[in-house]
Amino acid sequence: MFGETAVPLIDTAKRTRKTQSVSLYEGEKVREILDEISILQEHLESLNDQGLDSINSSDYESKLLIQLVQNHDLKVLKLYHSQRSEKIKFIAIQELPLSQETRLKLSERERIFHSKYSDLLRKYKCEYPPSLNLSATLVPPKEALTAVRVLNDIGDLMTQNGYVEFRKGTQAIVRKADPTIEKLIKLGYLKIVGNKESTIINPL
Amino acid sequence: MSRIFSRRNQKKPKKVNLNTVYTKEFFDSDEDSSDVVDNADESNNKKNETHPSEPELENLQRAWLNENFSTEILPYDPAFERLNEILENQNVRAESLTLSQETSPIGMLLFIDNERIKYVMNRYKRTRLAKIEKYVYSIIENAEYMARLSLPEKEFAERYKRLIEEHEHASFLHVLPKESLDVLKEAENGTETSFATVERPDLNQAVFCRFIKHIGSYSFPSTPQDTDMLSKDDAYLVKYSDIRRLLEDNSIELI
Repeated sequence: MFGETAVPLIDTAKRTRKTQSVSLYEGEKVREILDEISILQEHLESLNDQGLDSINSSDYESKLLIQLVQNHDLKVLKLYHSQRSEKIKFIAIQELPLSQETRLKLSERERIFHSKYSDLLRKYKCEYPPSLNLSATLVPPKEALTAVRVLNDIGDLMTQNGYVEFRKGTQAIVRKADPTIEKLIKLGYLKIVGNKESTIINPL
Repeated sequence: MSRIFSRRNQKKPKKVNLNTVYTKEFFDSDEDSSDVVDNADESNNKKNETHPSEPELENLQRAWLNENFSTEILPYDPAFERLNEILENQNVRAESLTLSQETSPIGMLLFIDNERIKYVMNRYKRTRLAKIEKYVYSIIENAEYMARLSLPEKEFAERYKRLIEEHEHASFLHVLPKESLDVLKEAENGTETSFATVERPDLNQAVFCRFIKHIGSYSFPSTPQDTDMLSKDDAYLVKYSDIRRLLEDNSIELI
């Protein structure tokens, strides 16, 4: 039955609505829906070619029905893609690189979208006050300093407190709001100790 | 309209602003650390003064919450720029304090204060950005909304719209025959709203608001026959479209 090809994609969109990670791009299902729209379009054209008069209600109804199904399919495609791009945008705004695992799950176009969106944010950040970090984690700050454990060798780094040596297994007290430190925490090089892991908030 | 809360007959709760308490006290004690005891009276007088960042921070916090709870995009708050200047001055001060003594408590407190200011500023910007992304089509086609954006935000909105269109086109729209896309466009411009895919702010959404000014007797546009007595600190649950104008005059805040 027409319209049913879209159902699996709706299910996927529903299922992955709350997850943080991106699921595998279902290119096959997307193509099936696109095929359905094209077939319906041919059907519609053949109806038009027959020159049926619009007063005949059954013809009018079938035309309307085809258009409805087409619209429904397009909406599902839009929804599915926009939901995925939301997640990609969230990765990009945190300035996280795409992990190998995520990269494989994205379609070719989505990888391009990620890099273009990152460019867009970079341009926007140029106009942003330099003391602020747009990509900062949106968790209310509680203390200025925090103890971190070094999980991977990094070497000497220039932080806002001056040079700090980060050797694997050591601990250091650093300023939490330092963009360098924040980035290292996000990338998993440093781990905050003696504090609950901060949760990530997505606005809206 | 449903009034959910009225403070008219209640004792006003004491407002404690942590921000002022610590910055002011430590500012004062820092400046006259040697003769705190001698100047006790003087510092008591100083307590009534407010720190420059406080009113601006309050403004921006209000702007952030309004932005967060309203459905449409609100005018860009100039408090952001002013707060940024204050923040930079305060940062210089904190840096110079920690330079002389690394664990200077006043310096540390100033740093935390700076972090809090930055947090509010960041949240404000991110909320606006998320909203621009969500309603990008309706913002760009509406001149009134466009006028509410700051210059970088305008540029961002336009570039973002292009990016999204490009992405959608390349992901699936390019495969489709042009005719089937025309069907969709027609439906969007027509009156049949059920087909529309452009996300628009829902002006009928219910919002919680609190009056920050005394208004007096007033009737909300959707219920012109009812007149309510609106006084400061009353909280209401109303339709957003009813309080749009009041929000523009800064008579209410969303909560």
